[in-house]
Amino acid sequence: MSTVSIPELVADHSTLIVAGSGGVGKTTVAAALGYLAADRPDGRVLVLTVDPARRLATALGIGDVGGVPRRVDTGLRGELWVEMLDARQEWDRLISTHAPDEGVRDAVLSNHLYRHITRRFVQSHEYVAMERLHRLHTTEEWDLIVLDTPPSRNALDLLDAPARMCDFFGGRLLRWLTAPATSRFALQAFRPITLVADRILGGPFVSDLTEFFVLIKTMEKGFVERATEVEKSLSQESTNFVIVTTAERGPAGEVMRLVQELARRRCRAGVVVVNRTTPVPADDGNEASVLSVDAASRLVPDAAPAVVTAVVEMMGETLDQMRHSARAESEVLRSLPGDVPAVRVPMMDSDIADLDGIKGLARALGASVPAVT
Amino acid sequence: MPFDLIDRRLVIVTGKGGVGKSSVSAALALCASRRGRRTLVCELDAKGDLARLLGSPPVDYSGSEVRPGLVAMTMDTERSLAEYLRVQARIPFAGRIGPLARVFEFVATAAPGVRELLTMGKLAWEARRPDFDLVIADATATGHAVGQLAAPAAIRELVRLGMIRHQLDWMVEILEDPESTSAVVITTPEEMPVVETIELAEQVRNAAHIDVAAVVANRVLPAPFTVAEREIFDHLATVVGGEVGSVAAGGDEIGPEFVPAIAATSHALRRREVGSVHLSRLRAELPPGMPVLLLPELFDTPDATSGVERLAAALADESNW
Repeated sequence: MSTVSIPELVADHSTLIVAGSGGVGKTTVAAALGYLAADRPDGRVLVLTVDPARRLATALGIGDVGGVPRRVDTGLRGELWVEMLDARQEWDRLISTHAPDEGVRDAVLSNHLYRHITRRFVQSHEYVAMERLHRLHTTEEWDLIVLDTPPSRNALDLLDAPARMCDFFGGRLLRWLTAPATSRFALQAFRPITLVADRILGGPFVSDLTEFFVLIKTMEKGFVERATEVEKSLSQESTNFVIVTTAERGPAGEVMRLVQELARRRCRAGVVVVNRTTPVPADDGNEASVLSVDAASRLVPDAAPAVVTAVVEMMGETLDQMRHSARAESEVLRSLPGDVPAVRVPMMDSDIADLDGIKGLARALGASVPAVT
Repeated sequence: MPFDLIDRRLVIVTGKGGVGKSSVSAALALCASRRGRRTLVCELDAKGDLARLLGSPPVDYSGSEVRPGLVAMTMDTERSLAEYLRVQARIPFAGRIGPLARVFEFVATAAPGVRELLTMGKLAWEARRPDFDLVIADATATGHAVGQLAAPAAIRELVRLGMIRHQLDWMVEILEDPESTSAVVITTPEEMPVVETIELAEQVRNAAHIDVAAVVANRVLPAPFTVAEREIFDHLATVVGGEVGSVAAGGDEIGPEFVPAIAATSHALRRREVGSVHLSRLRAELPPGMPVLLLPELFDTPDATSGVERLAAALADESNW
């Protein structure tokens, strides 16, 4: 299995995209990678996060404020900045950039349907997260940007977002849908379909929808160019993916799919971080730990023998349980794709919810060991 | 505690990613079907975990009986649309409209609420039909949950006329009636899941207008020691920490064999202490009277199915079933 040094990985790239299943610790890993990267002179590092937990957000100084980078006071040699994505603002920026004139811009921004889509539905975050990343890059203000990806039911939705945007504009369907509004002939030809749609959705809704897409269609060129650029940037040499998982079957299975998809798109998967592994060596599955009650009694001679017995038994049981978990984990780890180096980071004693926690995780990442030995 | 979760028509299991939603959904489904409720359990994100947890080969949208009285299915919004057009809109040729898949792809891309609506619509429809007594939804992770649950009500705001308006009306009626529909929020005794659970429970009630019947804290570590035992453990840990390698009167080297067990036990104790703090916070910040059920951390289960059986036993215990 190939090896990797995480400090080198953060030093050698200008974009790291942290991907993986929900609940595996992507946000804290992203912050810790940023922390590692900021530990060099003059480094300017930005962690772009999507939905940090409140206390972590507060600790990092971003609280409820999204859309602007905030500097974190770390005392490191370089600068660590964090930004929370503001999807709504990013969509509005996109529309403002691509609208052919102020009339269209204002019509879209005030369109009921547009506001509804961009404010209520999380899926729309995936594209704008990529868009924001690209925009921040073009400012050339940052040595490294770490993107913590949005929670999605599928880690690949993010990768597909730019292509979906192109498909949407390039596809026949948008033309098809906007046709009734632009041509009398089309209006007749599509009449049966609009009748069905009207019956199901109600007339006014359909005409709102059509108006919205007629407006959107005027922005086709800009949107498609932009999405194509964003997609290209994903496979640049300076961009690398950090895949985070736990040593559980579900998230680890997702790693394989993600690695294959990245390879198919010629994107680089630099490392798999196996987070929160059990911090004891695995057992061989056969023997229970034998701890001598006599030896323990000699160490604590004043204690009641019955209590010592209970304590020693519980200690043995706890160790065995953890060794057993570690063994189950190593089975899962062996199923990870062999072509991407994997490192393991043991579970910390307490939760990571402040800068000290991030520091601890950064240290652990810096010193991480291969997941399979 | 009178707890009638399985007497609802629709139970939506939600929570942060990675906390064990599918395991708890499977356990709940087992409990309900064993108590004689004809149960449909539906995995919304189609990862296939649910079937595996129930010891079944993969299931699809049409559903398979995985245990007596228990049917499992996965959500497929495209098939939900086809079913809707055929059954509800009475457009018999819907399945044969060639570009249906393309139309659907378009609609789902253009108006992202549509997928959520088709999902919630299918659930509400199954809950309304007499085929099942109880529908359990193994729902999406927190980030999507409120958007998902509130989709019918949100779209109802947009659609004022047409056939779908009527359907949205009964959908919202089922979803917003606490006698029919409840959400259960799953968490683990850790910082982020607890904070998200407190927020989610609030949002499910106040933004999606869906009743939250209970919070389930999964993977709770049991208390290893009594107070007296803890004292001895701490003493032992101090002695070993200070005297590893020293030689006892009998001439044996004492201590080293205890080091890994003490390290493991100390780690478990610290995790438990941190977990207890989070559980107290959870109880304090949830609305008064909200039941918090505790399910144990399962260390050594030979396979996924037996883990679910143990969770089902613990769940029945916690709920006084």
